[in-house]
Amino acid sequence: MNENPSEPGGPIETTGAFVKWEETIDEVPGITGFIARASRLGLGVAGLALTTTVNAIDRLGPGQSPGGSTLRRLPSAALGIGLAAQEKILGISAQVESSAGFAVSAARSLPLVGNVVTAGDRTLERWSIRGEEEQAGNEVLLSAFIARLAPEIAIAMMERLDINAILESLPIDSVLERVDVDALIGRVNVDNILERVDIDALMTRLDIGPVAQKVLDTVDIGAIVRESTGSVTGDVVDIARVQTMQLDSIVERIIDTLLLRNRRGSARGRAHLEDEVPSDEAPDDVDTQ
Amino acid sequence: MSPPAIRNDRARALQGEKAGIVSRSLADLIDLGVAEAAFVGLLIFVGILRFVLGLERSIVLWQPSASVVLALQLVLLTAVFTLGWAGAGRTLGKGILGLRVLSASGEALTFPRALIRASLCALIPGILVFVALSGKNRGIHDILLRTQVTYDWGR
Repeated sequence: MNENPSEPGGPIETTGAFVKWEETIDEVPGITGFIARASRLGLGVAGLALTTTVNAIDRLGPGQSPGGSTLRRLPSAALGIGLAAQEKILGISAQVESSAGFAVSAARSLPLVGNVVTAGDRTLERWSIRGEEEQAGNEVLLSAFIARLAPEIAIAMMERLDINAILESLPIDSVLERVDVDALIGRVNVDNILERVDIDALMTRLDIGPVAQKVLDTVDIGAIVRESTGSVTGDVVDIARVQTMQLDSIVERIIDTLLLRNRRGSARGRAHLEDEVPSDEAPDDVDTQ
Repeated sequence: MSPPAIRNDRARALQGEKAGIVSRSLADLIDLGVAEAAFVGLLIFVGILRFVLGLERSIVLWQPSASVVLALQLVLLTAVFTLGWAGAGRTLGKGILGLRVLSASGEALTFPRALIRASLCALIPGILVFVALSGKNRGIHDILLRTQVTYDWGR
């Protein structure tokens, strides 16, 4: 909340006889900083609780509460009061801390009392170091505990989730309708993908033998070869037969001419006549099947 | 699977007509080649047989006398013709050229008639010349034995 003067970086302004507390909370050491952080946390929690309560009351009777506006202002007002109180408390705390520090410094310079204060400091330092070590150990233990606990929680949640029900509840069709598949495909760089594919490695992973065997099993290669060979052979034989027929006709015409013989009327004669009639057909048009 | 139809109009029109000198000569030449191949096979077979029987110290081609060679060739050629014409009406040569030997009435030749016809053709190679001169594509042997050779592609 920007209005919160205790926001890190924001100075707390005080008035009157209190000490002006200008340092940010995170940078303040000692008791005053601790109070600032604790009070900020308390104020935040209280503010949230109040806001939630007021919203709940609003939901129970919307528009029916005569003092609705007053009620809605209550969280902010409470927060304002809390902030003012925090300012006072922090000011007092800073003054007390400053005075105590001065008193301790003065006491440390005295002959007898100074020794006691110094001994107290050392004792405090030892306990502080021990406390810090314990705290570090606790942090490590806590981290390990969270690291173990998080997957367990995730697994437990996944087991409880009905993925199918979630998927069914998703409006997949409407999502897909909005997707421009052509544009999506257009953005895909196929060449780049293909360049990354290691064809040799892919081929070594493929077991071509069974695939080829399956193809050969389904295709009757023998029948194809027989059919094609038979067709080609048949074409060649037909061509030879037709050309021999033409040679027969030519020889017959020559001999008929020499012997002054006329074969008109017979089928052979008609064939001869067809030979004599100019045709668009190519001379070697065997047209066999 | 039935054979494909004849698509060439002229060839289709001439089916059943008497075949000319060129077709018949080429068919007979092919049959002559078959007979000669059989003759060479016979020489090899007899050569092996003679080695097996101890008549020769190694396998050598049998070399009979000229008269035996001529006689064997005539017999083999006659056999090729006869076996082809009796019944099916086709030797290998006539099958390739699309010809068929039939009686004048269009029936298949009997074995005796096929044998006599084959003998005449084997003994008198020039007998086919008359086919060209006859005007009806019939040789002397066709007239004598009342036979004919027609275009028949079997479709």
